[in-house]
Amino acid sequence: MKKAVSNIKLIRESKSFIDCLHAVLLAANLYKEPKYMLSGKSGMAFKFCVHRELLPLSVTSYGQWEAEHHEGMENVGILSNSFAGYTRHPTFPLYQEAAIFKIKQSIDKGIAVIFWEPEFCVIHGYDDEEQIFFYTNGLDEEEKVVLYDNFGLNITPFWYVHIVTGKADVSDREAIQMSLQTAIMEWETSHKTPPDTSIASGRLGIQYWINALECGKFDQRGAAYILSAAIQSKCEITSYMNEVQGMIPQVSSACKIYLKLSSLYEEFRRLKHDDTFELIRGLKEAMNMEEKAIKELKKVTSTFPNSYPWVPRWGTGPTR
Amino acid sequence: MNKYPNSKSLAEKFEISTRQAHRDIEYMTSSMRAPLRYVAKHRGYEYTDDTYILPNIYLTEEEREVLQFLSYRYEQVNISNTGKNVSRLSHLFRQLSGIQSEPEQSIERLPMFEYNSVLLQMLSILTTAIKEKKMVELILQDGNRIETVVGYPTRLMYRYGEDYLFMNVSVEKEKQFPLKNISKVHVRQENEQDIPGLTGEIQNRVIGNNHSIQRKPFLARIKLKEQLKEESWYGFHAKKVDENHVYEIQFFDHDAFLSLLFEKEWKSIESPRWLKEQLQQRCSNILKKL
Repeated sequence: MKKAVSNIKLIRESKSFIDCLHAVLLAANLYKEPKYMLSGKSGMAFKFCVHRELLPLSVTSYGQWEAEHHEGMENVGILSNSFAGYTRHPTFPLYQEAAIFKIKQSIDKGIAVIFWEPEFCVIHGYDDEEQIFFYTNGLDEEEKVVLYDNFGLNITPFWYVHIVTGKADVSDREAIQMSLQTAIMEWETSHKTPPDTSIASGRLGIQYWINALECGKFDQRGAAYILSAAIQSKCEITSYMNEVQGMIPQVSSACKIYLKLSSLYEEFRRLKHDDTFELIRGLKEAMNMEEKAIKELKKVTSTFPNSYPWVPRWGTGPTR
Repeated sequence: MNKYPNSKSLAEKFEISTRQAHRDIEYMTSSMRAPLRYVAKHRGYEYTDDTYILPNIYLTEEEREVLQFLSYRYEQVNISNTGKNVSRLSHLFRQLSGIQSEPEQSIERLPMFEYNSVLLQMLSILTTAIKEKKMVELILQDGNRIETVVGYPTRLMYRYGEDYLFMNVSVEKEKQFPLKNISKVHVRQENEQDIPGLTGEIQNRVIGNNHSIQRKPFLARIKLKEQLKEESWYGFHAKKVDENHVYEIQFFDHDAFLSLLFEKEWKSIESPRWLKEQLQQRCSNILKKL
């Protein structure tokens, strides 16, 4: 007997985790705002990483997923659990069994589940008789299926499941403050996946992008994916900032810069396939603009009570 | 070299024997169809057509005949979506062969080999995927062993009487697959390429060799029209369930299997339910469009 969560509308446009999270939250009636607000408030829109050779992995290599996603969801008051690991580990079958149980439990409660296929997809149903999960990847309308036995096995060596369990009320102002601090931190952190320095974040990420284009040794598919993801992120940030300035008027100067930045990125769409020189020139300009925007945000966040974005609200150690 | 070379001046110029030079002139006129004319007044040859240039492809007579044969064969092919290109190829082969006569005349003397429209279709898909750098999914069958391999095809090569596809299945790991073992090619869509697993971890879902835990296949109980001679239904492992031609068929790629259900004959699907529903959904989507 098939059991499924209805009203899952997954559309791939932003980072795939945000696309999935938004679809899950909307269907479970846990969130009402547009996707750019979720992307902005969670800080996910500000996450930007680039591999030295512009590999397509850049877009999802924005750090340790469990930490990054939990922090982002915490910002908007979403309570959640995650399971992740490497499929080669001997404990994988046990984790797999536990995850299957939890996923079914969540679907019974009417909350769909995010998992790594890759990219991130949404499991919206299951059928115990046939031992399968039903999921959607947002790329086409057809429902996909995966056997319980194969759950977690994918083309990458790792597996990941994120289950939303509830929602707490977080004031808009608090969520926005945290998101702006995340924006600064993401821009200023050079590497989000240490000790690996082949992937750079924020400012250095753009420098990696420029370097790869200048030396010509890069993955073309990845370059296109990074560009389209960056354009979408800037677009989301601009819409988000536009909303934010209604609540925190001090961000208006940063908002103006982001608006220009977004238009600049939009212009990149019109560049011809081999016009790397123009793209490099544009990226240098974009880097300077974003630097200015972050400076403006710093001025704003310096007035916030918690102005140390790199320290999570619960401190650096585990809760006691 | 004067404007009217002859065998003697050619022999001196290229340091060959006069006899060899004479044979070369003969070859130019007979095999390369050079419009040469001997001008007695100047005791040498000239081109009667100034626009003639030596071809940069040299074909033996046998190769010429094979091209003529290919031209003939391709002319007769009629595949709905490749027909135009096939006919163009036929024209090209005939031009290359340089023989303007009706191809039928020498057909009986030519070596016979099978024209394979499935192979041609596959080559066409793969060539496009290579050119457009698209990710493809191959269903491979070698005896009873079925594999699904995903990667980026890089080139096609013919050697030792066999066509091969070279494909990057992971970073700096290129594998070759004989085309005869490829039973299905599925080109991933543009947006499907955004697989972050990244160039570093290109899909390679070879059954049982990629993970410590083996991927398990989907099982479908399907009633076929007749008994199978071997334990395989168009490349998918099939195990007989009862005497009514009901088989339990294993598959890993449900897309490839659904496509097969559209193409081949069968009587009924007994299970799984989701497969029936997906097939029904696809049929209704098509019907809506018609």
